[in-house]
Amino acid sequence: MAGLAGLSGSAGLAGLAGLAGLGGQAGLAGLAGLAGLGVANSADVGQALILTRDGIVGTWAPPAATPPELEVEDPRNMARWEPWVRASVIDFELVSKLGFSRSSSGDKMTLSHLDVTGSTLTYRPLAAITRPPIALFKNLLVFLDRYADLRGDRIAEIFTQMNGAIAFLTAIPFLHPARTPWTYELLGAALRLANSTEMRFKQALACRRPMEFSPQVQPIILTPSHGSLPSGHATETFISAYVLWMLLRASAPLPPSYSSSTTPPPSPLVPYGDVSWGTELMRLAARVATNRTVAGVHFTVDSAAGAFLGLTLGQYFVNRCTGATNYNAYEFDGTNFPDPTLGGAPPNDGDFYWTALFDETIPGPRLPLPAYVTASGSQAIGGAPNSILAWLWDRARGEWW
Amino acid sequence: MADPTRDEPEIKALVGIDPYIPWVMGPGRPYFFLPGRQSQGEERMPMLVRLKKGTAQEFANGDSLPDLAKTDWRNSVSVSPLFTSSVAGRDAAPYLVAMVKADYLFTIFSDTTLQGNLSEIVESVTPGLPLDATSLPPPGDSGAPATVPAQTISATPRTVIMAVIDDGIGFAHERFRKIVAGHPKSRVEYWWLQDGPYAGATSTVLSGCELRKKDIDKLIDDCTIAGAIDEDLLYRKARLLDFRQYGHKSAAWHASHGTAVMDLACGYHSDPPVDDRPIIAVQLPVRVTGDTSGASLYPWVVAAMAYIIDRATVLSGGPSAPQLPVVVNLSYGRLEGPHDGTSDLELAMEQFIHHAAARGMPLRVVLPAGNSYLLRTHAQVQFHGPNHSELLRWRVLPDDRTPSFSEIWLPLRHATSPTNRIELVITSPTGQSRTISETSGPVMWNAAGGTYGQAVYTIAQPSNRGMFRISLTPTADCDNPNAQLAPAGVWQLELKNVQTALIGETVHAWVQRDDTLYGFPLRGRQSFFDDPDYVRFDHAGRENETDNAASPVKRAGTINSIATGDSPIVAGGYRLREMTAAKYSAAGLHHAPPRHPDALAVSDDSCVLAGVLAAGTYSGSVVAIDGTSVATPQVARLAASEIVAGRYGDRAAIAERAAYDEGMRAPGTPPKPPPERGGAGRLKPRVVPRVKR
Repeated sequence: MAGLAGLSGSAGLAGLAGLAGLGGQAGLAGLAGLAGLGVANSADVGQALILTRDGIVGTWAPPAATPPELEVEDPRNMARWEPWVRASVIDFELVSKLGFSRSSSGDKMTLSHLDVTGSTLTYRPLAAITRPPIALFKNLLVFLDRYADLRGDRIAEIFTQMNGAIAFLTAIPFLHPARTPWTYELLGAALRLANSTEMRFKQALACRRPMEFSPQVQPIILTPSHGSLPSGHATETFISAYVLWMLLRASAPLPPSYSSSTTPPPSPLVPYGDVSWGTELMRLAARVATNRTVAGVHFTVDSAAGAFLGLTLGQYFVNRCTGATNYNAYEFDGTNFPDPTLGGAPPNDGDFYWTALFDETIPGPRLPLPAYVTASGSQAIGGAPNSILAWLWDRARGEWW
Repeated sequence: MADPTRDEPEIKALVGIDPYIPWVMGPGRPYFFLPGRQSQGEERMPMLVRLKKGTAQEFANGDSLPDLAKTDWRNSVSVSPLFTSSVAGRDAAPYLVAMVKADYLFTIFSDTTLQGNLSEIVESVTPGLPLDATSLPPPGDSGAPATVPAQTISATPRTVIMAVIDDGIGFAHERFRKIVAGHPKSRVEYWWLQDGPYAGATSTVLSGCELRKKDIDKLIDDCTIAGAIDEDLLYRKARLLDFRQYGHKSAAWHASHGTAVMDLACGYHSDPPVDDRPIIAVQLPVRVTGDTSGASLYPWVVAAMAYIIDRATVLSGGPSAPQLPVVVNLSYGRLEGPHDGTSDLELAMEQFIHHAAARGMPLRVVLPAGNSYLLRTHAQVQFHGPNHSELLRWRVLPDDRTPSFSEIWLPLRHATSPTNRIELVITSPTGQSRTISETSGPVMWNAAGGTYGQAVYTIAQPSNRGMFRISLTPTADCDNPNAQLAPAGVWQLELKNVQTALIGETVHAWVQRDDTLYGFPLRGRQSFFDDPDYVRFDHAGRENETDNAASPVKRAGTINSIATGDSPIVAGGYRLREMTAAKYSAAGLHHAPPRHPDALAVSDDSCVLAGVLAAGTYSGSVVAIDGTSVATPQVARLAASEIVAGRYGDRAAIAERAAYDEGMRAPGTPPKPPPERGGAGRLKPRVVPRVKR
């Protein structure tokens, strides 16, 4: 249990990009600081309780009344648990429906969703990534030199974004750990989904970091000790930007509603219906991603793959939370990512362009898709809508009015 | 390191040939032509040429050369039609900018007949920094333009064209847009990216690429998504930002010099639309901005001015239509040069201004006074008797990645001046002494790896003033492991007058600028004259702003060396709260010619609130930037409104404004700075700040 508490506080897992920031907030949401609670479970209090009980309990009398039974498998019971307990439950709901496999032809890895319809189990594609060839990474190294020019300008952002960019997301809509605790839990779930999948991809794709190619990269922060592609910062910031924005779009007008009915369509009357919220959130995510190239720890293609994964997972996550029947699957082909030595015009110059991947006016993938992304089509989620995810989504949605 | 396959060119006393030329052909070559940027052996560089006679077209054709030499000439020297066939090119006469194959200079230096032919038509040449091959037309191609299509604006008597030559100009910024029928449109009519990718057959410029207003408007549209303009994407599509290319990307930084300067000169809210300040912007090559030393700037600025005048003529409706007035802001400064208005850039500016005026185009050029008041880059000596000796200590810093240069300027010769008026004994920090005079020929300091120091005497044209230039290789170099570095430390310059020559006259010395600009990677370190009698700090620890007669090192005479001509308006800076000159704001010379700043504009809000607020690179951002660079555009802005008011907007008009503003000061205001620093006085701020600091 202490280990999992460590997870929600992110204390023990220093490398979890993005979680430390969120976890800190979850700690605040747990408000361990409340004076009485703060000293619970200590030997002193335990000793004192022995004495107190002996003093006040009196003779054992079996209870007369019976408390009402709680409903089994009822999402409403989630409100009874601590945040970290809920986090474990949500993580189980998400990760138990995922699969991961390597395609027979070598460098392509596929994340899949498990469709459980009745007693039929079918893995459906969700997000696939093909590793770029090492010669392309070598050619992309030029950006690590050129972007170093911006280090003096971006240093404040690079250091404050080292453990993730939640603090930056809070600058756009009115996120606040005490004001919007359910949204924090929802974003935490999205981040942990991103984290476990991105780490699985990093392990499988085994991409070397920029500084492994040249002694001249000289990053200004420690290069994290996990694979370069996809970029964790890109994946996590794009998934949280996307999920947060979809939540805002779905937010209820006054008064807040706690039903789990389908999302009302966004309208200009809804507080966050304007596309400019999406523009700023996506620009922020892109800047966080690019700052990692400025710092010297990521290739531009890592940011593109991370944005791709974050957006694809974000859309999947939202669909699972809102009880949609389907989600859209995509593939990222690193072998088709533009090579800067070929002299292409922007956005086909090897640099990272979020606008090539996403169109906030839809909102959805930019059409036509870039050469390195293909659509694998609409896939069934299967089974009944997940009531636990829907419960959290609705609580979070209700915070925005 | 010197090319081992070539001898260094023979140089005696050079007349009209900038001593920079043998330097860049010899020990300075690896710092001038960076390896890998152009094909080896095919390197080309721009040169500012002053003709003695003939037209630019005749020069381009090689008309005065023997037939045998013509083919070689035409393959090696090309002149853009901007100079050979446009009205602006005639305005530039007798100056032109040519693109010259570097190795052809060896041909010239080794062929006395060719030198003879050329010396009849060429008065002086000044090289500029070369670009990468991708920015240049293919060899032999003069960059024949497509004709610049007619582009008119609805001009009114209030219209003044504002032109800005700078670096890091965020030309699509909201402050340079106007809302027309609900849509954002550019106020920038033309933008030239001098070191962009060469635009090829459709190019109308001699290097790089150009955007016209309709191209900028289209980019704005293409990069607008749901009403939000993605300016980062726009600058990438415009090739201002291309992270595959070398070089500092000022327009990717939060604050950039060119955007702040252009905002102060001609930035307005987009709504209501401002139609009477159309803009022409020129982005100088990044390398030129980064290399603060040398005349490397000159050809690029002259080309920029010709471009501006040419496009302004187009906007006016062609040469026969009434010409619109143009105010040009060039917030750049240099430290070396004669400081008497005779540098080639200054003379070229005069030509532009007078020729344009003659055909009805009021042209104003505004320049900064410079920021080197306290940098100890100027010294002057006088000889009070025969065979006297004066010593200057030139301190060159370690870890200076760029060459260092200093210049010693003699006054004009008299009819009775002896052939050799002065002897200069130069001793390196390691005790190596060389003596040079007006007739001795150049001297060098060599070591196993090559030449690390060179002193050359030349007679500058057209001023006819003698000048010694001392050139040193860098004191540190990561890129050339075999480079012969110069020793850092004090280079002693002992000046001795010969007999009674130069008694009562002043010999000036200046160190070339060699600093690193904000944001640029660390390369240069500013050398200076180190003198025990120069008192830097007062008893309270403040930097002393008053000269001391005992020291040859002077704060006076630090004025921007490209701002000593007759016509440009020169702006210094002052602190608004304290009403004193900004501590860096440079001063003119006491001695004739008395070229001082014309007026001061606010360049610091107070001594603790440095700079003034102006646009950051991207719309919606505000930054504080200091320096006489930000005083200059405020004066340019004023000059434009003075022109509209019928008061010409020239030096006299600005000085009159400053005197008027001084006259309106409340009693008890600190007195205005002396004219060497402040000209006619402190202009009151006219750009109303949006936010009070």
